[in-house]
Amino acid sequence: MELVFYGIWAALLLFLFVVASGIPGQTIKGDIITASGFPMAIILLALLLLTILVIGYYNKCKKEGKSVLSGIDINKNVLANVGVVAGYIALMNIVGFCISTLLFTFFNARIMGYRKIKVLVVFAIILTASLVVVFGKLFYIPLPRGMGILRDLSYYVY
Amino acid sequence: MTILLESIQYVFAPLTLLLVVVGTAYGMVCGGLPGLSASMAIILLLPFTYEMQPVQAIVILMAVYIGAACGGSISAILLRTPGTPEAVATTFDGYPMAMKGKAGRALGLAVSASSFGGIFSAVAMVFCAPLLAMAALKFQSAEYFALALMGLSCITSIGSKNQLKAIFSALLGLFISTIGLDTINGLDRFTFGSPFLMNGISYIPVMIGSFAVAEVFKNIEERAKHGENLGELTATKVSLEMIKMRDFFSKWHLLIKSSIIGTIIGIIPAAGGSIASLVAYGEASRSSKTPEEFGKGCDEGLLAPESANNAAGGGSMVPTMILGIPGSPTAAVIMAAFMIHGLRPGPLLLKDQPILLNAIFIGMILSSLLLFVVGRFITRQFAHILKLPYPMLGTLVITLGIVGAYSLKNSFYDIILVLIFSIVGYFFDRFKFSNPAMILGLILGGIAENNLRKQMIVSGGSLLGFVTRPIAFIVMAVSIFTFISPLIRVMREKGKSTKAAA
Repeated sequence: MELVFYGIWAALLLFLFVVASGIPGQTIKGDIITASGFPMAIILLALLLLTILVIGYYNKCKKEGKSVLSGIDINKNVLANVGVVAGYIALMNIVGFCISTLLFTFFNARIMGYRKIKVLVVFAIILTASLVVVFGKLFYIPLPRGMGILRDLSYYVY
Repeated sequence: MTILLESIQYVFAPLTLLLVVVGTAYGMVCGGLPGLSASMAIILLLPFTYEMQPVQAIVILMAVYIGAACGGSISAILLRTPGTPEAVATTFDGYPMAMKGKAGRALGLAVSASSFGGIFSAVAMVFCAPLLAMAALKFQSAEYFALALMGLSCITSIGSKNQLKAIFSALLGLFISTIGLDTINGLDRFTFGSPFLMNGISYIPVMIGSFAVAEVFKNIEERAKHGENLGELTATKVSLEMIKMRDFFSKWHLLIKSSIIGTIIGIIPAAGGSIASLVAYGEASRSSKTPEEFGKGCDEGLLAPESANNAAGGGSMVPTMILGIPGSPTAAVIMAAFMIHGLRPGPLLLKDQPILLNAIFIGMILSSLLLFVVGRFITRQFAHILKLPYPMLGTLVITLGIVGAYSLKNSFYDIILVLIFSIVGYFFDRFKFSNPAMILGLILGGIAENNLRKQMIVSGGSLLGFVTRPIAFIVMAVSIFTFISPLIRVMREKGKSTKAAA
């Protein structure tokens, strides 16, 4: 798993290096570093360090007699949680802050193992209401309103 | 003496006293909520100060500033979510200390150190304001670059477990800071045509994602691995523990050193409390006899950043009031309050309004002392949230983090950044990379690159400017030493253990 992690970073850094090399050169006299110089230097250093880390990881696996591809396991609870958070973010602009937060609070705590439904419903309502009052009303943050009729309804709330 | 007595009379008038208490409490609450900064808290309070006398108005706004600088540590310690950018370094040792069941002690140390730092910088301002302001004027591009380098040199102190991974993390942070429009020549870098990316990536959503949300994911995994039912965990009672004076002042050298660092960095315009707390933390780690304890919940790891960030708050008022140059974004808002009340910050303020200036300093000292009283009450209220079962607490942390990130610029893309960096932060934790080093790189990258290039432009492409300017040269030399010494220490320890094994 760690090797896959290093591989992803290496690919990303190489891609970004190619993009950086396309940034135009010196535009101001004396600016010898230029707009591309700093990021390119950073990327090269990072790639060098990544190479050392990969070699170190490979030697460590060899010493311990483990496969370099060992440890490919991501806890399913974590995956589920990431999925729920992603869903919350995706829904926020569609159904608005209130409804998406209510749903997220309920389902996220359920997925994390909390069983008492009634308590969870009350918690979701209190948390959503508190956030709307504090951020939406007190601090005038324009929270996402959603689309269509939900957007119009949100104006009655915040 | 008459001026001082008159100033004391102003501040200790019943209404002004009440305003200081209210301001400190309000500042602590706002500072404790992620996404709400001191600037936002002051801006919201500003309209309420129109009808007040100038002294009252400025004193309450300063109390909010001081309260918020301390309040950020509450959520940093309890939830690993810095309430304000200045509290980033507080999470390094504050949260691990809370995990060991010493949340009360962590909060007590944070409040005590904040109080000390605030009082130190107020006293420094009383005696040295004009001198400090003149020193701030000497800072140009080379000095700013050296300062950023000094902050970056703390990487090796933060990532003591694996230096290479810490440096790699910092390099990623430095790279992320280059995304957006180049401030020197306006070219867009790594924006891929996205208007959102043209503004660059703010470090606050990155911090919320990689610290707070990633920590929730990590906890879910650990609890699942150890077979604990997530639904049945409860938290112990937490309240602010009063630290014994003897214990606290046994670290007097660390407190004074960190407060000096905070005051000096605060004086430099645009440097800010977050840089001050990171530099103070790195220096404390470097000079400690037990550097291996940093990051695991040691007292010094809390005392240093907290005293520095409150000292920086006071320090930032020096250029604001004496030169009319805001020392920080929050100080800029307070400067607006000066103008609203018909006061003109600048060199003549000291001459024309000595009572006002002294009243502000005394108000700052009073507010710093009130942190103990107000902090006790507020931390108890915040700590109630720890009584929630972990599924609820984890959900609360994620929701608060998302709303906090959104409230920065009211941008939906900041929420997406929280999700992306929560995944990055989760894997960084898993493979022993360093999230703090990444944040450090992100915060300081812009300052380092821009000032490096500005100095090169000013000196016609020559690097001599960094060597011929004494302040820059000394700070850079100290930075290189700070960077190398943990590496040398680690190599020596490895050499000793190899010899012992042989």
